Amino acid sequence: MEQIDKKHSPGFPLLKSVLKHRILYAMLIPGIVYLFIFKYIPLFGSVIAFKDYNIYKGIWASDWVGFKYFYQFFNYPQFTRLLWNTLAISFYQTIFAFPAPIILALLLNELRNAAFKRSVQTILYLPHFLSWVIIGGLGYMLMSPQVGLINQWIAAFGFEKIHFLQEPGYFRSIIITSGIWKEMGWNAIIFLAALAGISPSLYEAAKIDGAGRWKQFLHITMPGILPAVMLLLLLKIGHTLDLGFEQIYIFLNPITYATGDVLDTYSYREGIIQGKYSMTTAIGLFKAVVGFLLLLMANRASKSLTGQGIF
Amino acid sequence: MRQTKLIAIVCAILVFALVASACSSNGSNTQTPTNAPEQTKDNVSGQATDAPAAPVKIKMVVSDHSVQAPGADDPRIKYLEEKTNTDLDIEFLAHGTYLDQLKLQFASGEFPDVYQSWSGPELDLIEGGKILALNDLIDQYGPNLKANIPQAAWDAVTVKGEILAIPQPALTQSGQVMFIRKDWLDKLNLQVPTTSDELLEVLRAFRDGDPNGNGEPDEIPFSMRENISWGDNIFGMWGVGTAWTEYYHNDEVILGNIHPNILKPLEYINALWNEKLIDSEFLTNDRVRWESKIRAGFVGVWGHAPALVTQWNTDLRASIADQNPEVIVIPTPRGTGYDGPLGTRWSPINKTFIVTKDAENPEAIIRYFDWLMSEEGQIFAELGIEGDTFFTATSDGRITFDAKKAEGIRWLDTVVRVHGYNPEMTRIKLGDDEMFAYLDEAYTIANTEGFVNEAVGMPPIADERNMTTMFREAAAKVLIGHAPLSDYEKFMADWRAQGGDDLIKERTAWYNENRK
Amino acid sequence: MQIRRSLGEKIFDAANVIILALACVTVIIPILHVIASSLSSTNALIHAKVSIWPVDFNWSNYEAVMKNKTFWRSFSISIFVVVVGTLINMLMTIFTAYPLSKSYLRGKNAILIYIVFTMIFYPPMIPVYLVVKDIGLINTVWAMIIPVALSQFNLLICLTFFRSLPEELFEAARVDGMGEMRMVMQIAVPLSKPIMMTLGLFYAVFHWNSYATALLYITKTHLKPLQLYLYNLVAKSDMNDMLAIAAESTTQLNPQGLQMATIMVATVPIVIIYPFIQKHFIKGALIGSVKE
Repeated sequence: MEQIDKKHSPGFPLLKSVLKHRILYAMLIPGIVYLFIFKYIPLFGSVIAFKDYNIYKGIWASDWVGFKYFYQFFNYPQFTRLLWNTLAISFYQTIFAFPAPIILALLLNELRNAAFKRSVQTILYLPHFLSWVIIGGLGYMLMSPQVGLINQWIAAFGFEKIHFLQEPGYFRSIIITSGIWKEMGWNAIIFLAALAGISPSLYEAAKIDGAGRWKQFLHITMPGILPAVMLLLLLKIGHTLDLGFEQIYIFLNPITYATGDVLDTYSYREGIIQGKYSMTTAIGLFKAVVGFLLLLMANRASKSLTGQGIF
Repeated sequence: MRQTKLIAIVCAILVFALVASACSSNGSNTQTPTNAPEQTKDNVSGQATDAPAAPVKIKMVVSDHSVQAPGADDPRIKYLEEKTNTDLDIEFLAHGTYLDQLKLQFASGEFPDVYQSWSGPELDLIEGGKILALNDLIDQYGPNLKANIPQAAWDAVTVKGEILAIPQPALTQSGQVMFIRKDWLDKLNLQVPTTSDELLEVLRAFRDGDPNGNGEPDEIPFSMRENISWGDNIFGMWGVGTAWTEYYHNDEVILGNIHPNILKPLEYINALWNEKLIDSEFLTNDRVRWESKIRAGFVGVWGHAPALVTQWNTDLRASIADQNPEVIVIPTPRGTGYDGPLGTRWSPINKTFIVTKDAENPEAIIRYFDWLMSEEGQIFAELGIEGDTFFTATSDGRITFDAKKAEGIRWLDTVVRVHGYNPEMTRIKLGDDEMFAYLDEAYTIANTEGFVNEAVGMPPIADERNMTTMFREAAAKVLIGHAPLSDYEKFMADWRAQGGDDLIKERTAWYNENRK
Repeated sequence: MQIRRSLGEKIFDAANVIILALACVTVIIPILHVIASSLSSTNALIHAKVSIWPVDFNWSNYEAVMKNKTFWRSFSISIFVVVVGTLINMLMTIFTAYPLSKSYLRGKNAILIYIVFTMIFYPPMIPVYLVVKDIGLINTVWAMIIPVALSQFNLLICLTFFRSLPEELFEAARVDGMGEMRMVMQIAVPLSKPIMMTLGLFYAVFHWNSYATALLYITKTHLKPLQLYLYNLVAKSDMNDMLAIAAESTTQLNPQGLQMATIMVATVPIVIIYPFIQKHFIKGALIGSVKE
């Protein structure tokens, strides 16, 4: 049965197409309305980034100040450092933290003992439910120069204790490692679902054709998981400047600002705590604009390279 | 057909959901919770009994200060209403999000008659004409308020001569004092230090003398907390405050962080670091860890609020009973080469109550607070109702206080109370003369030391030009030796250059106009 | 027939098991510490005596959490929000993802951009609050359901999977006279069972764990969900210094132990339910098959 490409066929006006698929369009209405009410209408409120927001005058009556808050934020002498730290951590996350759950799902998939597989999976997702405050405490118990396990071992071997939390050089590694530990198991769930969705008949057919485990992996498993991988990668790129605020905040201290102070922690310290809504909104807008542009570019690249894209 | 069945089930669930939620909402859509069920612990209303004039309705919004809020029919609320001839509608909002919630209510146009805060009203509100000036009302209806609230407290909430809030005076003038393990001093035959050099000697002795007697060099002579906090008294040895403290110096209004006197304490703490006299984790200590170290008996000197001296003693006696710990407060020692005021900045107010122009009967509101400030009211706010949480012996008039029972009405003392330090009430509540002695001593010290903070009463700083971030980073580096002291002086100049000078100009201009 | 594994495969399988087992150890030990802390005395915690086994075993932290009437009230509110919320979420997600998965739907890319835009540009807190207030949802249980009726992220996942379903199936059904609605429920959903379970799990866990919406929109105690109750409880025990000073006391329960207990209380229900969902992740759980 042929698929008529309605987009490019002449003589098929949009209205006719909408009518033909009216049920499909009707299905979309609740979602579109929801997003409009709860996302787009309040988004107009982002205009407070350009105003001296006075709660009592309201959003519209507050004074217009143009890019003042953006300048204020760009003028922070270490602004470039904020940006650089944010990008660096985001980059490390993409290289290390992003693939971790994928690899985990693939490894779990290869396990032969179903009971072991289930147990491992259940255990590994548990840290997702711990709050960063608690994980900060756990990190302290490992890394503290006074009571930390790691330092106790180091001292036992005769070396000098390391103050991990106070060395800018370790900060990013701590963030990435703890992030992987916490979310790897939970993030693997999507990929496991994707793997479960691959039709077993494909594997059977491959075996009959004489393909070994590695070939099966390469030609069935990988393509089966690819759509999920690309989707998540694109979204991660769209959120390039959005790191996990709470996580960084827990481990950050003034000595590690050099490698760890990011847009969100600066925004919290100088904006939110002091009630400066306009500046925090400005920072949020800045992050969003950058992220969105990157997403559009990445989407195009992805489509040409892998055929997968969001739009 | 399966399809229809599924739709039917979905509809049934949704209908059930609607019905269930209607029941669970329980009239929460109405504004006046007259029939609130007992679960609603945060909205209160009541009737006064046979009062000559009808009781005045007052709508109040307060923070619950993280203690249990009273139920709808709490007898203390009823008592309060009787005494003040009011019909109280108090909304207790969760402390953690109180200011945000308040802002949200205001943003959507809801203004109560009275709301609680911790300073005068915000500039926005004042300019928006939402706040009632109270000068005349207090003159007429607030004799107890006038008598019991010190001028410094009134000044802190006065703008252009108009009193814009009823301030609760702080328990003490300065909010932070130095605590020390007296038993360690005794054990090592040391005197209480009175200068920074003497303190250094004491700390060295703490480090080397094994005062906790376990044979391990695990003592932490001095500890403080992350973000360079709770060490104010060290900076205070040279009269410097590092958090939102402003001085009039050299014809300028400057923040303490760039006051020339700050170099000495920075150097001092760096010396402590080099000699391992300060907690090696002080930059990463969160509250729980810091507290645990002290309670586990490792720390010799620390900074905290004077009111907590009794709690520290109680806690340490519980956790390291075998060491017979004793915690006392000592006056801030004098820094070498400095002869100005010692201690921490003066903070004259605790919480405030602000009256909005929406209030229909502001006289009743002032009278309400005035009663709370009267002797009867003070007894009520601290001790509760006679026969319920405190008892007067008929024979000698001695008052005993049921602390256990009073645990359930902490909100009275924390949220409703509007007076400052009442020694008699405190003595009764403690019920323990030894503890009261510690407290009184601590309060005396806190009230005799300290210095003026020009920022009190000035409009809050709108844009601090990144002081918090830059100060913490520059100071931390110097304190742990990652940078020389001269780098801090460079920071002081850099901060001015990237906008600090503008801030100074602004503040100085306001000062010259309004204060000189 | 016995499948013979090559030596390389055997080594790989063994290494796989070892690596995963090690990973489990790195998780189990800290979790044991969390559980142990929740069951230990304040004194033990202060002196840092607790490793993976409780010291001075006692239930006081759990009592503090659960003996309250409010706890059970919050618990039931959360159950309600999870059940109804997830149901609404799934309906919204499925019926929005399905049309967008059809390559022939005109304008779908525009709609997708419309959706993704809101994922990246998110509105500030106050305007959202004002919208929710104007609709009248403040202090109703629906405030925790309707403003989060759809997760764009989950929508995209659903969409990606629907896209991979062969169009021939739907064509055949259409020829048989099946309507689109029925096709969604009887073809698309059953064939995507693992993803449906996953998304249901994500939404359910989101509702169960969320306190951010309640924080803003709910001030009446009897409507507070479990997480908010727990959050306030920890905040109470963790009264910051200013409050402690005002109350002239610090706390009795070490917030550490209480925090651990609240995490346990919040997590255990999920851990109990999860195995029931897990069995759908086994390879080949796909029911029905695509007849070529």
